[in-house]
Amino acid sequence: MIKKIFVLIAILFSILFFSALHVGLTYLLPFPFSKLNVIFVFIVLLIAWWESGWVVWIAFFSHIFIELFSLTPFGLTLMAATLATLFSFWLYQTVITNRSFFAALLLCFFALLIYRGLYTVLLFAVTLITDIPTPEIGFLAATFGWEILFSILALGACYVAAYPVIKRFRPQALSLHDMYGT
Amino acid sequence: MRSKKRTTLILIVSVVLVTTGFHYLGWLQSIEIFLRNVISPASRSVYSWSVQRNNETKQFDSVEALQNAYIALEEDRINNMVDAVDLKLLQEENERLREMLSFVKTNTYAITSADVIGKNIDPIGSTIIVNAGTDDGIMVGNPVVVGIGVLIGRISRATPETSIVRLLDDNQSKVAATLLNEEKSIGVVEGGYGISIRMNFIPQNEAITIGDTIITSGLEDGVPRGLTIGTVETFEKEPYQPFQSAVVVPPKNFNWITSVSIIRSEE
Repeated sequence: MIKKIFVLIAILFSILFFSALHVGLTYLLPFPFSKLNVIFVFIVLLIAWWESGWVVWIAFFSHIFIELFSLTPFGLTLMAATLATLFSFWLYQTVITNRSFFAALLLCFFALLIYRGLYTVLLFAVTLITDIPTPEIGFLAATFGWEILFSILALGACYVAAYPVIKRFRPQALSLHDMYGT
Repeated sequence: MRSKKRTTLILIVSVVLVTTGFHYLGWLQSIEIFLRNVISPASRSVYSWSVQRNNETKQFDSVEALQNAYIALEEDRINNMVDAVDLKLLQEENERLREMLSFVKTNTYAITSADVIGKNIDPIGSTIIVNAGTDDGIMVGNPVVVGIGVLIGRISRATPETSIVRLLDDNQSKVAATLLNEEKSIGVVEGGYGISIRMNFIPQNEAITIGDTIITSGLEDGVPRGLTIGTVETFEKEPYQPFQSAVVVPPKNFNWITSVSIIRSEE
């Protein structure tokens, strides 16, 4: 019970910390480095490390924070990010099953691609029913390109730094000797 | 397995839709205010620190560049002193003439000061967040200025405690403007994806000079005439087009703004 409470508190603090870090880095870093998506780097690392569906709810609550800093109609970022995390989680379970460094990078690429794809579709749908002007697709593509590039680079650096922890918690890392003592 | 996935998908979409619905019904307002109050101090500190860092790290390529910048500033300062005297005289004359004509004021304006607590993080917008909202009388469309009347944008969304300011370089920003050339050309100042500002719809036959000042025309509701928007950096004039356009340089870098004034209309 106490362990579960500690895990919950850790999750809450992680959501707050990574949301604040995402917003903070957007302010601090110059363009195009400011396009780095810290939350998705964190989510992909969590999928690789934890492999639990809870990561979808972490994405949901993180993006509620982000919606407070967003100009797009409420729900757009939330829907795109939560669904992208869910699809990425399924992708990791069924397609990108190779638990390697490159699989994590590939997952980050697909996660952001799905996220921004859904975001763009929803954004264009919203422009049909509100007075928001249609964004220029070339500008969006360039911005999302920077975001994907810098997020993958950041994930690579974080994965290397966190590798001992990720490896330790992965069941595949256990040898038969560790499990059965044979 | 497939059925479980379908159920999960429906559950998650439903939760997001319900949350979005609750937001628009205002049922999440207290939670959102609480979260904003939690985030705002941290966001404000990081934003102020980033502005301070950017200001401190302004670099010059050489000593000569620094000297030139200093000389240009000195010239500006002397010109501004002369302009300030002229302005004072004109203001006094204007007051006297208004009194003589029994000029009736149609609009009065009030000012609310606010601190910038953050920036928008969307890829599609160029906005800042300020710590004044509907509780302070702020309304959507109110112009936002820095200094003694440099327009930087307008309020695009207001909550009880905070507001989002759409900056002039935002793609959706449009302000009716006047170019202070001989003809006092009228046009529309529009933003370009957070990287540029242009004045469009300037009639083809009217002369533009680089360095001309652009001000608000006062043709829009709630935006007083005479707020400085910027100066003309360059202009495009095509003989086959009915209008010409000018690239505008604002006097204040939008990345370095820490406090603003919001102009409110008072009936």
